[in-house]
Amino acid sequence: MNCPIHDSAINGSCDAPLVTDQARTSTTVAPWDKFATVAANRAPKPWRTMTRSDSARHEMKPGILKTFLERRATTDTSVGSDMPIGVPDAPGRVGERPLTRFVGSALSAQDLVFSVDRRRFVSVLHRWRQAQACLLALLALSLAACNANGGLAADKLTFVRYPLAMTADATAKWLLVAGTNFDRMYRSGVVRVLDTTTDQFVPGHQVEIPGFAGGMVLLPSDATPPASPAPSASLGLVLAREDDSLSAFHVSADVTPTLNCNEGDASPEGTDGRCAGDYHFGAVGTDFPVGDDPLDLAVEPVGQHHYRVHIIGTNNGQVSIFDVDPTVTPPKFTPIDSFILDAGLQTIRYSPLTGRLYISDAHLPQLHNYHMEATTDPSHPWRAVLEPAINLPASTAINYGRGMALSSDGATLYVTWRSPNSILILDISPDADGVPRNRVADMIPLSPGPAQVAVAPVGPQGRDLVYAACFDTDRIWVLDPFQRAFTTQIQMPNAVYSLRVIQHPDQGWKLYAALFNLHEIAVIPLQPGVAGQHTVTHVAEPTP
Amino acid sequence: MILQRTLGKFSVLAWLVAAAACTTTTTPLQHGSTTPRTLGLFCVTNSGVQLMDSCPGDANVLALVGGGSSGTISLANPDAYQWIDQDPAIPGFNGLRVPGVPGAIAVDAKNSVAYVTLHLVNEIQRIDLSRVLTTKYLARLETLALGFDPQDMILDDDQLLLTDTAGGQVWSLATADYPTGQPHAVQVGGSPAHMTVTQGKIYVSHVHERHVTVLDRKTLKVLTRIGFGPPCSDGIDNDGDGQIDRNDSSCTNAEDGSEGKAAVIAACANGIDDDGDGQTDYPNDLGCSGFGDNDEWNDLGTCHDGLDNNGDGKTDADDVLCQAGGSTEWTLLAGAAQLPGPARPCANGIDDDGDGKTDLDDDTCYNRDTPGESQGDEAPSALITATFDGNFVAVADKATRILYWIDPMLDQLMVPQPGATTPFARASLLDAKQQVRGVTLPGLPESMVPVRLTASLGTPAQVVSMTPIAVALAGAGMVLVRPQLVELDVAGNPTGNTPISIGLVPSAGPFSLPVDASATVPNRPTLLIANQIQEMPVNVPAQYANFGDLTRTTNFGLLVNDQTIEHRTETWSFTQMGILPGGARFGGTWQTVERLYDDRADFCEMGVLPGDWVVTQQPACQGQPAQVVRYAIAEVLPRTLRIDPNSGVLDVPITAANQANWQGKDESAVPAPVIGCYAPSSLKYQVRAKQWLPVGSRTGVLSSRHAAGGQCTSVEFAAAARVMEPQAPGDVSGKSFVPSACPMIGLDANLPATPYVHPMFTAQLLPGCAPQLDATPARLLPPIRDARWQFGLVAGFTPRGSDVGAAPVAAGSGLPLARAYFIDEGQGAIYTIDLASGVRVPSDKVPLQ
Repeated sequence: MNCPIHDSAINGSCDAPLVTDQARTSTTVAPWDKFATVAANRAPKPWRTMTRSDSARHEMKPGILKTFLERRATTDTSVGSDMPIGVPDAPGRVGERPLTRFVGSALSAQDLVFSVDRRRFVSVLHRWRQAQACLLALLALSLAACNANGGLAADKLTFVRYPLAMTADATAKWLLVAGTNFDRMYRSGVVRVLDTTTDQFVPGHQVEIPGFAGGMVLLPSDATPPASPAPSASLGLVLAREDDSLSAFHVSADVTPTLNCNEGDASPEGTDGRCAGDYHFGAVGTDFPVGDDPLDLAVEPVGQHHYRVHIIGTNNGQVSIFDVDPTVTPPKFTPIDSFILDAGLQTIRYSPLTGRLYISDAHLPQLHNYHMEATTDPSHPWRAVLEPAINLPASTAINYGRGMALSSDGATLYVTWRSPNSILILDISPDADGVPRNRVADMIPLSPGPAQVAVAPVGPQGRDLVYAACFDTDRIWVLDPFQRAFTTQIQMPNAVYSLRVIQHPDQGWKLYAALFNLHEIAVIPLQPGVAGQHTVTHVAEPTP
Repeated sequence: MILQRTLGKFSVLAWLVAAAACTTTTTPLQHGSTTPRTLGLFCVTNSGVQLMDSCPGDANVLALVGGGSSGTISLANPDAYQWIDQDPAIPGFNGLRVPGVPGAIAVDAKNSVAYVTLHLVNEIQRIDLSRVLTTKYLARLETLALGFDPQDMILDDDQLLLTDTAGGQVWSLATADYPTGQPHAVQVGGSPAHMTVTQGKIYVSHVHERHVTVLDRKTLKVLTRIGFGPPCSDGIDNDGDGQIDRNDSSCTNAEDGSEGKAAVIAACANGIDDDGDGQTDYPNDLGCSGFGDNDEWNDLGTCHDGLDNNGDGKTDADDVLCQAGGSTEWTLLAGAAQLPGPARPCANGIDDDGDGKTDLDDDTCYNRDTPGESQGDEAPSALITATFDGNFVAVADKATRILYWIDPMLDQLMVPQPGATTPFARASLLDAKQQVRGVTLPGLPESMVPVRLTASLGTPAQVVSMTPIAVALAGAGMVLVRPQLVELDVAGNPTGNTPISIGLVPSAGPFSLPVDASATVPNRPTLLIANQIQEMPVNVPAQYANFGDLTRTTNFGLLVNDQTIEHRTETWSFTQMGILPGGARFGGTWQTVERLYDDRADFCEMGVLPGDWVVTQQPACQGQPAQVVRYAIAEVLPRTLRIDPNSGVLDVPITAANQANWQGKDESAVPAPVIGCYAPSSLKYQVRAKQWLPVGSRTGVLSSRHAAGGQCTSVEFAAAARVMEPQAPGDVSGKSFVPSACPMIGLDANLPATPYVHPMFTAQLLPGCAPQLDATPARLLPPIRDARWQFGLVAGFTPRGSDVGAAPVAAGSGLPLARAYFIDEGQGAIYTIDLASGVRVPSDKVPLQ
C-alpha cells in the first residue's frame, strides 16, 4: 500500500508498517519536511486532543510520536540496544535507505519490496499489528512523561544534536547552530557557538531553548562596525515549535561570544534552563502568538538598530509581524500586525529592493507576497498588504515550495521546488515603477528532495553561484545562473537540509551544511582558488 | 592447510566481490524515470539502427533518456510501454550509469552510437547502440574530456557541434576523430545556448542575448546576427554606426524599437549645449536622464524651466527669487514638506548593488532613469529549432514567452505588419496592441521540436501536410504553431487553398478553423476587501459588487469570446477605483494650481484617462488642516496631469465598515491646491481610476498608450479600459432607487445596462445592495474602495496535447513519425502524443514512468 508516513501517523487509515519501517530508518529523518507535512495536514490531529495541556510549552508534537515509534522499532529490530536512543548510527543503513525515499517521495510499494529486506519488512508488519494496542498505551505513558519533562537531563554535550537553524554574527567568525532535540532526549534544545576559524564548537558557550527549533537570526545591538575584528553584541531570536514560541538571547561582544538571556529571567521552575520572562513569548493563547508551529522568520531593517521581524507559522498559516529594539535590556518587542494564509508555509524572505516579503508554501503552487504600508491609525501605524500570489508550476502532487534565497543584488529569488524537483528562478527586480516583476524566469531540474538554498558570489567574474541541498540524495547542487546549468555537485556524508554561507575574514566564503541525522556540521570552502573548493573539508562532529 | 588458504583467499575474493556489489548499492538506484533531463530518439529495425528519416514508424522508435542524480542513461520503448532494464542483477529498472549528469543526446544512427554530454565532469560519453537489437543492452564506449560545460550538442552530418555558454563559443568535432581529436572552437560571442541547422547554416540562440547568431555550416564563421528583442536591447549594432543598444544615441530606453535616427532629435542627443551649462547631451550633461530626454535644464532648477513654478505670475528670470540669485522660484511656507525627491539609483553616485560599479558604469543602468542597479533576470534562455521543411527557424524566448520566427532564406525576423494577415495570423488584439513580434505562448516553453502532420481534406487527393513546431509548456500542455505560408499537398505542391499564416494550430483537426478558441475561467475568482480574501459562497454576498453567480458553467460571470484567439493565460483583476500600476508615486511637483508635473512619470504609459483621480495628502498649511484630498484629472500629458482645480473633494474611502452608512456629503469640497505648501519634487500622490480598473498580469492596463509629440496617443481599448457600475436612475418622487431584488439575480430591470466588453470576454458588473430591513426598503450600496475581483483566465486556445507534465524539459520527434515524445521531469515520465489527434497514447495508461 502506498501510504505516506504522515497519513499513517494522522489518520491511522494506512497500513502501520510504513510507520514502523520509517522508524527503522531513523538515520534519515527529514528535519521538518515530513514534520511540517504532518503538522499542516488538515485532517484530525489526534495528538492535539490527546496531549494538549494547560501549558502550551509541553504540547505534543508529531515528532514525539515518531520518536516513540523509533524507540520501539529500534528495540524490536535490535539495531543496537546499547546505542543511545535516537542517535543514529547506521547498521543496515544501506539497505534501509530507499525506505526513506519511499516515504518521502511516494515510490511504489513494489519499489519498496525491491529495495528492502522483505523478511524484515514482513516481520515488522506482523509485529506491528500485534503490538498496535500496546503501543498506544505506551504512547500515552510516554506523553505524560514528556509533558513533565520529568527526569530529562540538560544537554551538556559539546556538539549540536539534530542541527537545523544556523546564523553567523556580523564578523562571520562565529556561527550559531540550533539543535532541535528532535528525539526529546534532553530537557531542551540548545544553541551553541561554532568557531568558523577552527570549525569547532566552543565548549560552554550555549543557551537552552525549547525543542524543535525553527528559524534563527541575530540582530546587531550595538554600534560596533561589522568590519571590526571583535564580534558585535547582538540579540539572537530563535523560533521553537515545541511550544510555538520565540526565544531571545543576548550574544555578547566578547572575544568569544557568550549567550545568555539574563539569569534573572530564567524559567521559574528552574528545570529546563530555557529563557523565560521577557525573553520568551508567542505561545498560542498569549497576547501575541507567533503562529502554530512557527517555522521561519525574516528581518526587515526599519531604522538604526531597529528591526521588523516577520514570522510564519506553518500549521495555521499565520504571519506575525513585530518590531524589535535589541538595544535595550530586556529587548523590546512591539506587535505590528498579523494575518492568516493557508497552512503549509515554509520559508520567508525579505527583498530590500522592493520591501516585499515572499513566503514559500509546501501545499500550494504559489508564492505569497506582501508588503508593509503605513496607516493613519496611530494605534495601528503599519499594516501588511497582501499582494496577489505568484502562480508557479503545478503538478498532481501536493508538495511544492521549500527554501528560498535572494541573489546578491536582491533582484532574483531562488526557490527550491518539489513538484517537480527543481529550482525556480524568479525575477523580483523592480520595474520602472518600483513594483517587483514577480515572474518565473526559468525552472532547472534538481534531484529529489530539494531543501534549503544559499547564494554566494564565488562564480566566474564574481557572479553568484547557487547552492541547493537535496535531502533525499545526500548532495548539494551548484547552479551557475548565468549558464542556467549545474556545474558541480557536492557529495555529502548524509542527508543535508540547512545551509548557511559566510564570508570569513581570513578564509573567504564558506558553506556550512547541517547534517541533521548525524548531528554534524559539514564545512565546504567556496572561495575560488582555495584548496578543497566545493568539497567537504571538515565536519564539526560529536566528540567520541 | 592449503584448503584453508584457498578458502581464505576465496573468502577474501568473495568479500571483495560482495563489497563491490555493496558499493554498487550504496548509491541510490536510478532509472530513466528519476529526474530525467534529456531525450534522444533512435529507430531500430531488423537490420539494425536506422536513420530517423527512413524509420518505418513509431513502433520502431526507442528512447534514450538521460537523468538521475549521479547520471544514468535509460532505454525505453514507448510503443511497447516499457523501460528496458539495463542490469537485471539489481532489482527494479536500471539505467546505464555514466560518470556525469547527462545534458544533451545526439544519435549517430549511421554508426549505431549515441553521444551524451555530461555536466559536472565536462565530458562526452559515447554509447554503443548496436547491441540493443540483440541483447537490449546499451554499452559505454569512450569518453572525451572537454574544457568547458556544454549546454547543447547536435550532430550535423559527421560533425558534433557543442555550445559553451560561459566561454561564448561553439565547438566542433568530427565524429571520425572521436575520442582522440581535439574540438575546434569558434568565438561567437554572447552566451550560446541551443543550435539548429538549416539552409546550410547553423542558428545559435543565447541564454542572455535576444538575438540569434548565424554561422556558416562549413567554416563556422559568423555570418550575421538576427535580433528578436527590441532593437535597443538585442545586443546588436542594428544600424551599423558602431554603437550598440544603450550606447546608441537613438536609443531612449531598452524597449525602443529602432537604433536608427529619430525624426525629432531630443535636446539630450542633438549635439547642442541647450542649457548653456557647458555640458552637452547625455551622458555628459547631468541634466540629461538619457538620450531621449528633451530637457538639459533639469540640473539647473526651476529658474530655467520656462514655468511659473510658484504661481506668482512671474517666470524664471522674471521671478524675484531668481533675480536675487536663488536657484529656485520656490518660497516654501511653514509646514510644507522639505524633503527633496528621491535620488535615482543610477544617478546617485552610489554603488547600490555592491558590484563595484556605480551608476552608468553599471551595465544594468540603461540610463540615469533606470530604476535600479540590480538586474532583473531577463535572460531569454532561448530554445531554437528549424521546421522539417527547412523553411523556418523558430526561437522561443522563455522570459517573454513569445515564439519568434526567422526566415532562413533572408535571415530576417518575420515581423508582422499592422493590418496584414500574413505572415502572422494576427487574431490576438492584445498582441497587436503591444506590438508583439511573434506568437505569444500560453505558458512557459520548456522544449520544442519540429513535427509533421498530414490530414485528409475529404478525398485522398486532398491529403495535405504541414510542418509545424510542437512546443511543450510547463504545466500547460503542448501547442502546435504552424509556420507554412502556403498549404501544400503531400507531394509538396501548393494546394491552391487560402494561404496559411503563422499561428497556433487549433486542437481539433490540423486544418480546421479555431472553433475552440474560447478562453475559460477554470477556478473560482477571488474577492479581496482591504487586501483580505473573502470567503465566497456561490451567491456573492449582497453588499459586494460582482459579475454574477460563481458557477463554473457560466465562467463565473464572464461571457468568453469565441471569435478571437487570444493566447494569453493571465490573471485579470478588477479593482474599484484602483491605483493604476505605477500610480503610487513620490516626487511630483505642483507647477501651477492645475498642473502636476512628475519628471519620472509616463502618464501615457501608465494608462491615465481623463476623469481619473489624483489623490494626495495635503499638508497642514495656510490654515488648511492636514487631510487627504482628490482632484479629477482633466487632461493627460506624458509627464503632466492637468486637473480640474474646482473638482477637489475630501477623500473619504468607502470601506466595508462605512459602506452601509456612507453619505456622499462626507466628501466635502476643498479648494485648489496651494502650490506653495508643497516642496518641489516631493509630492506624494496616487493616480486612481474613476471606476473599476481592469489590469492583466501580463497585458497590464488596457488604457496604456505612448507619448508622441508631447501628447499621449489615442486609447486603443477605450471601452475596455474601465468597468462601469450601473448608475441608479433618478426617481421622479425624489426617493432613492429601490432594486426589485437584493441580492440581485442578474441586472435589475430598472437599471441601465453597462456591458463591459473586453477583448477576451464580456460581462455586466452588478452593484452591491442592502436588502429590505423592516421598514427600510432595499437599496443600492456604493462600492467599497479597492475591492478587487481576480479572475484567472486560461488562454483562448486549447492546447493540442492536453498534458505533457509539469516540466516537459525535453522533446523528440522525427519526420516520418506520427507522434511527438516529451520527457516530464516532474513525474519522471515519457509522454507520447499523437500529433493528429493531440491525444496521449496509449490513452488508457498513465505516462510511461
